[in-house]
Amino acid sequence: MYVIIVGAGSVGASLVKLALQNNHQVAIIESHKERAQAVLQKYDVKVFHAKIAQGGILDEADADKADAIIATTGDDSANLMAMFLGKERGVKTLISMINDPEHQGMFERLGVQVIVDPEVIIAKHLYNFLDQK
Amino acid sequence: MKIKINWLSRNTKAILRDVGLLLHLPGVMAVVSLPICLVFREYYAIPAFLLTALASLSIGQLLYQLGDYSSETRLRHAMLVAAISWGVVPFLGAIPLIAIAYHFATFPESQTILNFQNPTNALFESFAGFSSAGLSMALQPSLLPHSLQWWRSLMQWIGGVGMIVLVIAVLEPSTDAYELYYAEGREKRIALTVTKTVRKIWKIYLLYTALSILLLRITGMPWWEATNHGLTGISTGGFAIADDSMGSYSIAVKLAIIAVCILGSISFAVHYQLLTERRLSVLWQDAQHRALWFLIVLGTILLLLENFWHSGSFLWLDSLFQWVSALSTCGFSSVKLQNWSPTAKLLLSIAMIFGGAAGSTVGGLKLKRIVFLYQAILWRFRRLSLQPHEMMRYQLEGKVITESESSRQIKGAAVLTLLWISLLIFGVLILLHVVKPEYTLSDVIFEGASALGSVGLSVGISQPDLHWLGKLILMLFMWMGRLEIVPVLLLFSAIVSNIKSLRRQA
Repeated sequence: MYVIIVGAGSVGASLVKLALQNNHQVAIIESHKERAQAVLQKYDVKVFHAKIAQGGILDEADADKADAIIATTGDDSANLMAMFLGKERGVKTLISMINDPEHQGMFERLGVQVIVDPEVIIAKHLYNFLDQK
Repeated sequence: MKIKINWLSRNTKAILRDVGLLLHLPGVMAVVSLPICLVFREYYAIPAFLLTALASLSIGQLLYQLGDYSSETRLRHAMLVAAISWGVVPFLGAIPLIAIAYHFATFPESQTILNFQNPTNALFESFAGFSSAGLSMALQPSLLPHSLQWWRSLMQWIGGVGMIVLVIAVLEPSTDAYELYYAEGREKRIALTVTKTVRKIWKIYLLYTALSILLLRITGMPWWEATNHGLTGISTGGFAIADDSMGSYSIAVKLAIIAVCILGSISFAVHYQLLTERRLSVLWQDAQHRALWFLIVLGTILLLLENFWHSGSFLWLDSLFQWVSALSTCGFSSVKLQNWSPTAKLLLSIAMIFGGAAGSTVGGLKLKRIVFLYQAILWRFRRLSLQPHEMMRYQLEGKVITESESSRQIKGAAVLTLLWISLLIFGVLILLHVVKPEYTLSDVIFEGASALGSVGLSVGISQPDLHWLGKLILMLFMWMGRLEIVPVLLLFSAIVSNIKSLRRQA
């Protein structure tokens, strides 16, 4: 599979590792220069140093050939834009992280699989461990 | 005394102290050589070596006492120390040659030794010795006294691994040891500290020297010849004590010499890994050593084909021998290279410009830089195929580096290559005027590349009857090439700026 990951923060970078371990082809779009450099240093992947709002960045990354786009930035508007542009180019699987639960409806209307509020998910996981005791 | 020292700046004093330290070295070497005179009953050589020891130790001590600890350590200091020491030590190394040559003036034995009465010849021999170049003014080295044969080999053996490497293994210089180590054209550390690194290097060096001598002995060289050629082989020096270098030895000996040359052109870091981890695979783990093996094979094939084209015979062994000898900057020869085609000479010149792996005893640009430049070409093309916002992944020797780091590395390699080629062209332009008319442009390029890469292969230009200007150029080449040019240029510019400021004061 060819996966485009938007945002190379801690979530994005971990995702790259997982995707590479499963032999997927990966491209990353990251607006922060040092984070982009750090990912490039660690993994042999394509890294684009640009904002998603920059015109044509998804075309540079060959989005029409992508099987999935995963948005992991801390900015919901950037995530939404990535999803919208991905949908326009006919990418089948659209996945996004959402930082503010209020935005969930907007994403779902677009047909995006979402993970809301990652901190809450972690907290739930931790609590589940407690329950199992 | 106090007043006299005061006009010297603190920096100059620190440099003097370290140069003084290094100038002790030929003295110690001369003392070590005394038993050789006794063993071979060459008693006339004893005063010559004692004189060398006296001159070296007294000048060394004087500078050492005059000098002072430096408060700051800078690479500039270290480079000046290296440039001055490597420029002055050969003058001391020439003393035994001149002194013994004058001893023979009263009852002449051969022209070979008498030629060293001319100080220029002796100095040339000494520069070729310490820089481990191996160009020689000795017409028939076999006719030299044993003590001088030994002295030539010893100079190369010490010069090959580096005077500074030896000195910081046992003494504490005032300039930062790592910077001195670096200034002598070495940079890789294999232990935590530089002192530990150089001690390890010396252990490896001693081990391999012993192995080389043994190998040459087993393949059929008499002990004395095996000892001398072992010393000059592992140091990739190339002084021989036989008149036609390796020409008249058996095939087994030639193959053994090839093995020694290759050992000498592998970096100490890899030798260390090889000895501690006992895995042969470390020999092609990094790009530099892969390039070494690749170039040995490719060059030999090219040379075979060229020799077949030129003379109708592949000259299997000679092609392999000469190519390895040139690439490893060892400089032994198995044939008279004058008779080879211009293309073959230029091919060998390229090998001599490249040299072996960085961090070994070789001269030349060293393969690390060649690999960098090759990598830079690949990067250049890859950049062109990138998307506008796509970031470039710079990978060097298995490690991913940042863009600024990559351009720093490439710049270093490119600048040195440019300096190397420019200097070679400059030297060739002058040499063409002073060599005998039978030597062509390719001969002159060959000899220049040989001196600059501290190789020592010769088409015959380096002879006692060469014009003094030609000898001077070749000596400069050996000095500058051994230190990778920059330290010597720095010394020249420091001298010029000092003269300027003195003039302004006057």
